[in-house]
Amino acid sequence: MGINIFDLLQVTIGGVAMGCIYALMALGFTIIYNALRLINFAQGDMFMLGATFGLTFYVSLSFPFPLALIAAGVVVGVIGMVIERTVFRPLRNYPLFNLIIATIGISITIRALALLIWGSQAMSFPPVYGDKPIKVGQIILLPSYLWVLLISVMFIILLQLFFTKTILGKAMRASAQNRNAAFLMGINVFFMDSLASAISAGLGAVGGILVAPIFFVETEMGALAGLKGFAAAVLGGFGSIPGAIAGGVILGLAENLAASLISSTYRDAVAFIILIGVLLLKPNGLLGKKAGDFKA
Amino acid sequence: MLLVENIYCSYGNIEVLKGISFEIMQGQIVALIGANGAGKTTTLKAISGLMPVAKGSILFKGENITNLTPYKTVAKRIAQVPEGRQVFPELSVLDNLLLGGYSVKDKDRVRNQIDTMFRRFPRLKERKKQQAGTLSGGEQQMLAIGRALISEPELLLLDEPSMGLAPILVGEVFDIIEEIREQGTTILLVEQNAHMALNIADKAYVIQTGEIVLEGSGEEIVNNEEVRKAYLAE
Ligand SMILES: Nc1ncnc2c1ncn2[C@@H]1O[C@H](COP(=O)(O)OP(=O)(O)O)[C@@H](O)[C@H]1O
Ligand SMILES: [Mg+2]
Repeated sequence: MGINIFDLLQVTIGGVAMGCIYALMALGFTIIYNALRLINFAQGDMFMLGATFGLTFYVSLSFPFPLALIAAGVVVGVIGMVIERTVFRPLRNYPLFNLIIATIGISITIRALALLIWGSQAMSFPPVYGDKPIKVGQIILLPSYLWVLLISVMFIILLQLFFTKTILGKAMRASAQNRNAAFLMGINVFFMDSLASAISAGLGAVGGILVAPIFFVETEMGALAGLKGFAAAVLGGFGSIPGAIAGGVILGLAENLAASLISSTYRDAVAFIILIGVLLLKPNGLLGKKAGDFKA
Repeated sequence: MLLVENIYCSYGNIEVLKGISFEIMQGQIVALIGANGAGKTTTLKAISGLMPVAKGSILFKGENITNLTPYKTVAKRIAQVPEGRQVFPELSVLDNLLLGGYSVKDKDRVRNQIDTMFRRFPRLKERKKQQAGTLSGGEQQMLAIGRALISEPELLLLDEPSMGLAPILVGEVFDIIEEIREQGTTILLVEQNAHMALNIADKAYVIQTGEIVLEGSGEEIVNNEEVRKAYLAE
């Protein structure tokens, strides 16, 4: 079974595109971790909500796709903000373990509610990206992965600009680096927590709606996406923004290569293997800080 | 200007401030000295709202600011340089200064203040793009002071600014503190380096296990027998 250079390129682009989705998920884990020092196991459900709300906006309400994407991101972002206000904030001074259990509780609740709204049937999202292959020289590319790649990269760049160029983004980073000092600057750190939760949820939702036209939409779809985002964040070094992006892209690429070179049954195993391997061999990840640097 | 009246603060069940009272007049440098663990930092945190006050009150220019939400104190024109500098290590020097002006609406003012700080601390200007965490201890202290001054506070709370600095830098820091006062900012100076603090203070209070045990002019305290024994290592 041979693989030629053009197939390889195709596999690479598909892998990087999925990798960018994992990067969005990993960024969601990272941003909320940096602000609240918590691993949010409901992050995968934000991905699911992005796809389900996206479906409602695009199909039932006939929004144009870009608008459906933004609306899904905003609605799920608001849900993230509400979760922070009603669950994370009151639990702030409890042990980390309680908070993590709370995120699992949130995840179960969201899935149950989603089941009530959208039902248990897998739904298909209309093929928004078109299915006419794009020919670049001898290479034939599927438009869906190109769009996913393009849009997710755009969101990653926007996020980067937010964190490095705007005063609000800098205030958010400052709050993550030293809460008390941020208060002394007059930064409303509580609002920064809400914002972090909203951005994390919104990024997950964008990932969900972007891949919805490629896969089926169902209320359990968040579990695997959450796990892969988590693996990507661990691979890159939990808490590092460049690490989350690199981890996502590497995971997406590794998965797609394993699937096409070995067998597609191994696709989902790659994330587990990477997760276990990193935790055993290099717990701080590729770009992570030393464990000691994590204190507030 | 600042009137602290009989305040009590606790960490859990442990009461660490047991009725602290003192007063700061406009334009003064007031020193608060005491051994490690006496409650100096807790007192400053109570003023800036980082530490809940269980009993007692804090008045600033006649206004009750007891238990004000911590991010609102700086808008009242009270800035704090926290113990151990606490610059934002992964932000650039310039961004640290910019955030010092976060509460200031007029961004031209912030830019002017940053220029003033760069003139006062040329070493910060040379390193303005550098991550604050990579600065030396002395430079970080200058940055922490500069950052607090961007908001043009009327009252500056300084928590052990000389801690961990080489003697030559300590002198520099104290010169800066006097300079800040000359430009009209009132200062509450917490120090373990009692000798130097008392030399520049108009008024001083000695705190011991959560209580003020002595007060007087800087000169009186410096010449007090017990203080000399306990805090000035003589
Ligand atoms: N976060 C904290 N939790 C519990 N106890 C604390 C905490 N911070 C300070 N303390 C205690 O409160 C007392 C006063 O501390 P502090 O105000 O930091 O003293 P100082 O600044 O004079 O060295 C000390 O006994 C200290 O151990
Ligand atoms: Mg102290």
